[in-house]
Amino acid sequence: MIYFDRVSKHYDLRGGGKKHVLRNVSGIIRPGDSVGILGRNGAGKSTLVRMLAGVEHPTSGRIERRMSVSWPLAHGVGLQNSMSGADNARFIARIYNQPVQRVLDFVEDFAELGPYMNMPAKTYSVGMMGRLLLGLSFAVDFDCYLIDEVTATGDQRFVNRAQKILAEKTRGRSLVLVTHVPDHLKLYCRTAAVLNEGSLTFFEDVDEAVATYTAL
Amino acid sequence: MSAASGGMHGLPEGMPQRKSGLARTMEGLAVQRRVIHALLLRELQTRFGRGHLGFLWLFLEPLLLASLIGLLKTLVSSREMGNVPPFLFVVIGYAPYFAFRAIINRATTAFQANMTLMYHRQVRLVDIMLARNLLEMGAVTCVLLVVISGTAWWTGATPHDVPTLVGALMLLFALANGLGLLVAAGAARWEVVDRIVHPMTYVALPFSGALFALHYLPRQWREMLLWNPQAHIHEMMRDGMFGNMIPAYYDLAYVLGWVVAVNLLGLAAVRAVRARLEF
Repeated sequence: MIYFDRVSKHYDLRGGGKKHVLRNVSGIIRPGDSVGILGRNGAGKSTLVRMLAGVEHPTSGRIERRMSVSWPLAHGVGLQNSMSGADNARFIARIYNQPVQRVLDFVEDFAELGPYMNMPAKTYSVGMMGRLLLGLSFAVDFDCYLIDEVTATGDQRFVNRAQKILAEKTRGRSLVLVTHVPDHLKLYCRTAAVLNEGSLTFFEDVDEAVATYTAL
Repeated sequence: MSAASGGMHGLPEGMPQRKSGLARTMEGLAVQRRVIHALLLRELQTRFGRGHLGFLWLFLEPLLLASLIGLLKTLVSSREMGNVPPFLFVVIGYAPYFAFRAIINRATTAFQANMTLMYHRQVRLVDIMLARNLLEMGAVTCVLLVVISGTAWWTGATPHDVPTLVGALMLLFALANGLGLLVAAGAARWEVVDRIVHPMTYVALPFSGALFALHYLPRQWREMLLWNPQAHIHEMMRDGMFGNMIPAYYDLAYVLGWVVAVNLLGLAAVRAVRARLEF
C-alpha cells in the first residue's frame, strides 16, 4: 500500500517564481491496483512517480510506503551508463539483496541483449535500455512497479513479453504506469488518473480518463 | 488507486505497521552494509575499468607522485625534516595529504555524479561518500604499507609506534569524511560551493602541516598552525613513524573534538539538504 496525504510539490524557478507540480493531492495505491497516469509534457508525472518511490521528497504532505516499491523505471536513471548491462545487473542484485547469478540469468533471458550484455549501457538503444530496466526490476520482485514510459519504446515482440510478465507479476501486486500511449494504458491498467495543473483526478474507467486527457 | 477521503489524519485502516525500534535499526544497518559494498565494487570498476590492474592503479598514482617529490627532496634536502630519511618524510606527509584533498574536492560532485544511483531509495548520499572515502583510505594505506615495509627491508628502520601511526591515519580520514559531507551537502545546495572549495584546498596546503615538521617553525607560527586539527594529525603521524627523531606537537582531545563535530555537522547537513534535492 502506498498512501499519500495532502502532498504538494513546487520547484523554485530561476529568476524567482515557483512552478507548482502538485497541489494538495491525496490517494491510496492498494495491492492489486494498476493505475495509469496521464498528463501533458511537463505536468509533473515523473515528479509524482519519483515521490511515490521516495526518491524526491514532497514540499509538504506525507507519503507512506508499506510494500516494496520499485525504483522509478524511467530512461537514463537508476543505471550507470559507463558500466555494462551485466555489471549493472550485479549492482542491482547486491543493493536489493538478490542472488547475483539468478538476476544475471533472468536479465539475459528477458532483455535478450546478447553480446550487448557486456557492452557499456551508453551504447544501448532506447529500446534495449527499456528491456534492461524492466528485466532488472522483474528480477527483484517488487510489490509495486513504478513505470515511467519505458514500455512505450519497445518493439511489438517486447511489448507482448512485457505485457505477459506484467500480467503475471502484477497479479495481487500494484502497478503505476506513466505513458503517452493510450493503447498501452488500456493494455496494462484497470484504472487511470489525469494529472493537470497540479491536481490529480481519478477515474474508475480508463476510457473516460483517456477522453478527459484528450480533451485537455 | 483511489482518491483518499479528505481530512484524513492518521493512517488508513488496514495499513500494515512498519517495524520499529531496534529491529528497524538493525535492518537499516544491513541495508547500508550491502549498499556500501556494492558501491565500493562499482567505484573500483568505473574508476579503473574491469582490467585486473584496476586496484594497482589506485595506489600506484599516489605512490608515484609522493616518490617523485621524495626524490626531489632527497636531492635538495631541507632542514625542516630533521634527521630522518627525506623520502620517507615526504611520503608520510604527502600521500595522506593528497588523499585528504581528493576526498574534499571530489565531494563537490558527489550528488551530481551519482544522482542516477540515488533513484534507488536505499542508496544514500552518506553511503556514496563513505564508499569513496574507504577506497581512498585503502589506497593510501597500501601506499604507506609498501613504502614503510620497503624502507624497513632496505634500511632496517621500522615505524616507532604503529598504533599511533594507524590512529593518525584513521583520524585524518574521519576528519576528511566529515568535511566531505559538509562540502557535498553545500555543493548540492549552492553551485558556488564547488567554485570555492577547489582553490581553498590549494590555499590550505601550507597550513596543513603535511610538508614540514612544526618543531622547526618559529613558535608563533607553530601556535597558529596548531589551530588546524589537520596539522595535529600530521604531527601525530610523524610521531608514530619517527618517534623521538622529530619532536611532535599534537593534542589528541582537540583532534577528536573536531572529528566528532565535523562528522555530526556533516550528517546533519546531508540530512537537511536531502529533502530539497532536485532530480
